[in-house]
Amino acid sequence: MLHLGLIAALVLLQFILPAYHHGNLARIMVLSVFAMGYNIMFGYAGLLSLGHAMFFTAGMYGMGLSVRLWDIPVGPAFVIGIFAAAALSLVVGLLALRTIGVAFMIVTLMFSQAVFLTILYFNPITRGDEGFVIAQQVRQIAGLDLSNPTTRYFAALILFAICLLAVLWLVRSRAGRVLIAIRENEERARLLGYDTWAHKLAAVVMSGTMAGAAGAAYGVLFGSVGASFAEVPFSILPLLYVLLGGPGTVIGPFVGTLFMFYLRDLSSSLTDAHMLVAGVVLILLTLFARRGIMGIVRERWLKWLP
Amino acid sequence: MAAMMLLSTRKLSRHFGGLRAVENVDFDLPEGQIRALIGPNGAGKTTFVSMLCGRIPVSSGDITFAGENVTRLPAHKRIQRGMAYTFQITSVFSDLTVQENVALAVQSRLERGAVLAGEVAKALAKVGLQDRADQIAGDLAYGHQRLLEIAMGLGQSPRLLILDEPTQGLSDGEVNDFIALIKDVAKDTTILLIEHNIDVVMALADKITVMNFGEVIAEGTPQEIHENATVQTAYLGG
Amino acid sequence: MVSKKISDFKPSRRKVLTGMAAAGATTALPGFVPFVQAQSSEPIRIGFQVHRTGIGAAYGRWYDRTTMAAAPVINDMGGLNGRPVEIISEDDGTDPKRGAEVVEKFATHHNTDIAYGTLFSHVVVGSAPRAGELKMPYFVVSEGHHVASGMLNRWTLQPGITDVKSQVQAMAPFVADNLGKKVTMIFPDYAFGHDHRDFFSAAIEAQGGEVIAKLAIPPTETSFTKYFPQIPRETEVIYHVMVGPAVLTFVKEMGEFFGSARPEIFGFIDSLEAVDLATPGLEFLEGTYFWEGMPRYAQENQSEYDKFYRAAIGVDNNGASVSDPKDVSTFAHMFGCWETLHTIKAGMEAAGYQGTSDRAKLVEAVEAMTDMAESQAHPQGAKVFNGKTHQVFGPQYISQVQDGRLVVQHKTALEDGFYPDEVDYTTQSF
Ligand SMILES: Nc1ncnc2c1ncn2[C@@H]1O[C@H](COP(=O)(O)OP(=O)(O)OP(=O)(O)O)[C@@H](O)[C@H]1O
Ligand SMILES: [Mg+2]
Repeated sequence: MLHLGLIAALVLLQFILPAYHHGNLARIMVLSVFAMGYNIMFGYAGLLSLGHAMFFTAGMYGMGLSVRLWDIPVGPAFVIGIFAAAALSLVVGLLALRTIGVAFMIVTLMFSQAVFLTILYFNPITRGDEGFVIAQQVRQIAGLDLSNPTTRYFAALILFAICLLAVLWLVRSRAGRVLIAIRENEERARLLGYDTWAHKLAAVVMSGTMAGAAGAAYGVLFGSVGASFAEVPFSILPLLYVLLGGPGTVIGPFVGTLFMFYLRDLSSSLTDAHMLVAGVVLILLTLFARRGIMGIVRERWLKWLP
Repeated sequence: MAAMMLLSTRKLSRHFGGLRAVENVDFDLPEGQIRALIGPNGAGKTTFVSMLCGRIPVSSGDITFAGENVTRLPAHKRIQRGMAYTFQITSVFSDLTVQENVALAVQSRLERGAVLAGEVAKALAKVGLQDRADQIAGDLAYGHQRLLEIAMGLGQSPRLLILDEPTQGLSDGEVNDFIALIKDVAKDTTILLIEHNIDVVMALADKITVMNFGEVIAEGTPQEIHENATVQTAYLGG
Repeated sequence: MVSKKISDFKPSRRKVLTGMAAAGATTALPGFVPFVQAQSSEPIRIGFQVHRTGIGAAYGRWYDRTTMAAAPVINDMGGLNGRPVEIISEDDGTDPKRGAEVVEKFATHHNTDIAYGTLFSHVVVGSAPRAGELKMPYFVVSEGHHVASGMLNRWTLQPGITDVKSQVQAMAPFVADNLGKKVTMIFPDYAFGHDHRDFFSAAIEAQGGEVIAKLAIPPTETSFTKYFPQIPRETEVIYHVMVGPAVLTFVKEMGEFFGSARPEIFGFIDSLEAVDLATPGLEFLEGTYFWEGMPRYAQENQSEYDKFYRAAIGVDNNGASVSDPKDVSTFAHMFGCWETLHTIKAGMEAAGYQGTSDRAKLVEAVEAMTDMAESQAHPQGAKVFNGKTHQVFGPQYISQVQDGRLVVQHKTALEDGFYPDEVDYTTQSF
């Protein structure tokens, strides 16, 4: 209900928001898909990855390079991007899940760094750190111009809604309950007869694929592809979004992305130290609000919140 | 060979570095029995049953469950074949409700829906936690967490239920309820019970296995064990 | 001049804030009223996308100072079509994602007339698509080849600084004639370095020279000793372009490797922008050559324009802040801000620019520009703008380190930097 309400509200906002916030919200929806993907792994399965930028970038470059190298239309290219992210997350999952805890964090971080360096290494193909542009005239699906603000907004909204409902379905499914069980106590889950490793692998793949969908969508909707999306800060970002919004809640990632986006936007007008602001938020969160905004809402008021 | 052997081990060993926690254990448990496993602290009981259910790997030896060699199977596959294990050190999902805890146990063999809810309620009722279904597991008193642990074992409807010191932390009244419960469960479940409370052992066990320093030192009916000199020495630290 | 600069800077920043607060209040209302066209006495608003934080911060600080110095100069000259210029700064964190957001913010929130000032190429590439979609003239000061390569769009222009392809190409004749024909290149292993590698290799061959070794240094490298042995013995010139904090180590280790018997060394000052040449460890650079976009040290034949420009920004004859000689500027690049703003002024005047509905006219007016004479508006030197490629071509300076100062040895001709057009943006529709 709440979730359908949120989607309905976002549809309404399209018509009343002033241009600036309208554009921001389209971005926020795409970025919160990234965060929702992150949340599957971190919030539900309890796997803390420090390398999610690689999945976002896999989607982004899977899409972008298909357009750049082979002139594939952005629709199919978008799908290729998603597959690229799915494939990468499968490989990373198979390798990284051999480790746990801090080692897992480091392994994901290193994989992500490897992806970043790969992009730089293949400079003639990828244009390295400089990145490249997806020209406005090719950014069309079924005749709809995705660079048009309204179309873009709805494209972002559709992706967001699909992912939101997918996460909702997931956490209500048997598999979702098992992920929570793994997060809470993996050994116990295993000794209740669950193949925890397979569940974790599935979580990594779903998480990475969703992050990749966000990356591909970002490239399609905003027209540029760049290696900076593969850098470490971009892996920390979804963690921040999720921590702020509420790990293990379905709409937490959206709420967190929304808050962080505007926090950044306002703080960068007021002070040069917006990174400091982000750091302070993180510290305050870990000290006083470990469950994030929606986690607190759930604890205090809405116990049923998934 | 009258009753079918549900579980057997041959030369089962587990070493931690130089420590032989379990050494060459041959063990047979026929279907339908309540077996007690006793021994002084550090005898290797928990280590032994942990190998049975796959929580820890074996160093050497073999485990056969329901006619199948399960030594190399991962834990969840053994559980799926009908083992259940309740932890000596309480291991519940402390941020989830009592009901969710048991549902996770039941769900591993069932699909969700009405059946699930019914089975969860049944398991909770058996241990007397039905009124606490919506409490957060971590908020329960220790004794109630022990009961929840047992309920999770029951919820799995296993063929073999391994209970590692289930009565630790229970009140006398609860212990009596527990004895009755296990007698009931034992009608269609084989039980392997690690227990320090000798009254519980005497009340329940068809047969007793005694371990010391990683080895089985005696096995027999409660009466035989009661009279066994070696066992007495082991417990008196001789 | 300096105090004027600082006092100008602060109010304009405060103005931005109050403006934002007001805009925030408006936008909180459901029935948001779209921006109404400014009255003709209102300032022309230039959105300045500045690298205040992130890896571009050292450059960004000086781009900011130059911009904030140019604005009052332009206002003293009567502003833009009689209207004052107002600079509205937004930090982009040297991040393409934020860069694109900032361009949107200029277009839809601050309602600036144009966007301007971006330096780092990846931020330009990330932001330009949005500028194009929002039909926002976007004047970059990046020296990247992205504009002239045709990758961007009709709305993105680079009229204030020569692009890297032209810069590099213009170095080849001097290097071949004066330093040597067998060149070993050392460059960072990413797009910027690869541009140098590709453009210079082609250019030196055209001069009868040859690049005999190309050492690509991974961006994560912190020590270079293992690379120097790969420099072939017959090398006559080392061409280096290292950026980032490792440059001091690079120079020091190069000095340790060669000792006194070194080949000729030529580098791009990008490595040492905002770095004092008197920094311990840089002694080895004595006698080596550098490309400079504009001579950091005032030369003997200093022009009156150079004098005026330095004074306006508050930079001394050593290219450092007059208030702190240790605070060295990014002198070889930041003139691009000054000149771009002056070109915007000229463009707006030529277009009769009145407001945002004249944005396309402004682009066309700039496209129509060709020669730019050396002047107060163009202190770096006379230039020629190519309206088809949206790229300006200017002179380049080659200086030698003498007694810890950079002394100009050669100023290239504009023709040295010309190359065939790779795009004609004027054929694209607005
Ligand atoms: N993971 C481990 N690493 C090292 N040593 C271990 C480990 N687990 C158990 N041990 C050791 O193995 C021996 C057997 O331990 P175990 O827990 O199996 O005994 P127990 O019979 O269950 O004792 P208790 O009655 O106290 O529960 C002990 O000496 C114990 O310290
Ligand atoms: Mg034990």
